[in-house]
Amino acid sequence: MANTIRRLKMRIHSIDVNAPEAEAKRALIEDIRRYIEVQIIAADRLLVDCAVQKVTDGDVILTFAYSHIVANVLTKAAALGRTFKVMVVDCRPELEGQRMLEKLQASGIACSYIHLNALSFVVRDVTKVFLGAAAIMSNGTVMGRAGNAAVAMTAHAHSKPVLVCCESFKFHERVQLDSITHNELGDPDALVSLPGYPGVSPLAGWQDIPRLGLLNLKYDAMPAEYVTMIVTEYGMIPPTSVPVILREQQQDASASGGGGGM
Amino acid sequence: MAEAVKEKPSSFAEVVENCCAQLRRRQIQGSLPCAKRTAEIMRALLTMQRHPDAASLIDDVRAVGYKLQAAKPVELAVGNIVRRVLHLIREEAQTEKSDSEADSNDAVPQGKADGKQDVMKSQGVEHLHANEVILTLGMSDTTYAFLREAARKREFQVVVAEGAPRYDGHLQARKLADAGIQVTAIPDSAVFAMMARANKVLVGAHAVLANGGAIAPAGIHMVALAAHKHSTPLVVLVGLHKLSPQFPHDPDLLYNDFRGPAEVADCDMQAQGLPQQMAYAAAHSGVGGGSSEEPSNSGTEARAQGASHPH
Repeated sequence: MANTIRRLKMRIHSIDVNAPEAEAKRALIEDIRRYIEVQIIAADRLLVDCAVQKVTDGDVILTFAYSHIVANVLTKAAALGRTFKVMVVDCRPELEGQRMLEKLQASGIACSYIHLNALSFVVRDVTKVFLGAAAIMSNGTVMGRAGNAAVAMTAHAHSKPVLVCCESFKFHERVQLDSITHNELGDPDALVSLPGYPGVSPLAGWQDIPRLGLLNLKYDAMPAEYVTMIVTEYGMIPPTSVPVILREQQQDASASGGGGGM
Repeated sequence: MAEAVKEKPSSFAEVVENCCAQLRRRQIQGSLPCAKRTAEIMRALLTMQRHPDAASLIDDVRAVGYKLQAAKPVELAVGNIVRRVLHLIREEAQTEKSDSEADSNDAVPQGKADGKQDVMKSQGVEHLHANEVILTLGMSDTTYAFLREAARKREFQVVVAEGAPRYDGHLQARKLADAGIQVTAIPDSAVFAMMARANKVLVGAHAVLANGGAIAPAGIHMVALAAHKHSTPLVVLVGLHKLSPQFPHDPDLLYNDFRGPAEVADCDMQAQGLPQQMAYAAAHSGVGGGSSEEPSNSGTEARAQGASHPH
């Protein structure tokens, strides 16, 4: 998101001061629309076409929580007639995997649903792992939903290939060493509510207990060594090639002077 | 010993059969209750039947031990206690060449419980220093006692992962906070993120195997891998009755137990997948096809790569 905001600011700066306001606004809106069209929608289409080549008949594909791009890849592969099974790994407290499960079932894909803790038991039967990302740092570290790193780590320990599907607008030149330096906090009360669990959690009323704190981290950082391949709209790249893409993007941005297509 | 005489029906075989039935029905939960019950059965065997020499006693103990262990193969504590009793009998037989007595057996059940407490009291303070962050998963009485004792002399923080779908981490966090320790409760997905911050990982286990691996509630493998990645020491706290000489080739399959899928996917979710499940089964019938939605709540106990695994 920081990338997009920065480009929008650059574009605003580059607007001619003397241009009338309505025209400037129109040009800006046109640029935003083009950005969405090029960087997001078209990129997604190219990415899905690229990633779908990696889904072969007889695969057992593991995926974690909800990623719209991975869902698109799998539904496209099913539409192309590939036969494969999907294992959806879910975790608390968001339980986004249920959304992924619904979408995949609607496309008629055979699915299994497990909780993150059962992963080490089922990973032996998995052939490939498809993950989404929130951002990719310039050293190849993948920021994703909390739990992403654990899935990649377990898959790596069992020698399963991990493919991260991520559009290039999510690449960032920052380097992050661990998950805690930059992160987002979710609602801590989400940990306390246990739907379907008989009884009340012992954590209820945690605000009144001085020594008890709840932490709901949203994201975590997956080291580059766990990632086999990153699929972008430019094709499939190793995690070490992320700075190359970033450099090319910066060159494009400076060459066009921030105007005419963000 | 008196209550064992009162509550038993006519024969020793019935006592064993009752215990086996309770184990099979999972009415005895946890390795310590199972260990205590096995020790009581062994004591009943010695008191209720006369044995002319050590060899026949060993045969009887072994026969009963096989029956008990077969009732619940996942519960390794049963076999461990039987092996201890056999060891004690052989020791006694060596020192006294005449009939072996029941006095050796009395030490067994008491020794287990007391031995554990002393270990906790002495070693807690040695291994933890001030301002450390300890990570733990789920609920373990051993870990709770260890940390509570150490907290009397040291100031440290504990991060507890909740251990879904059992959520016993919530209870552990609450108990530790009530004991005056600074606690942070996190979901399991945050374990990798918090491992960067943790100085040590302390967990309990269901059993420890001969190759150093540990069987513990699901999620422990991920914690162990994350600890290995961050070079954080992983310490497994167990009572002696959990140390098993078994050397399995695949403990994930052999020593695993399954629970109902409703804890992971509630009935609405399962119902959603039902029509597709039936269609899939119909289409793939005869090929041994699986169902299209299997909410598998597998691996209640999952093997961890223990501290001694050669990574």
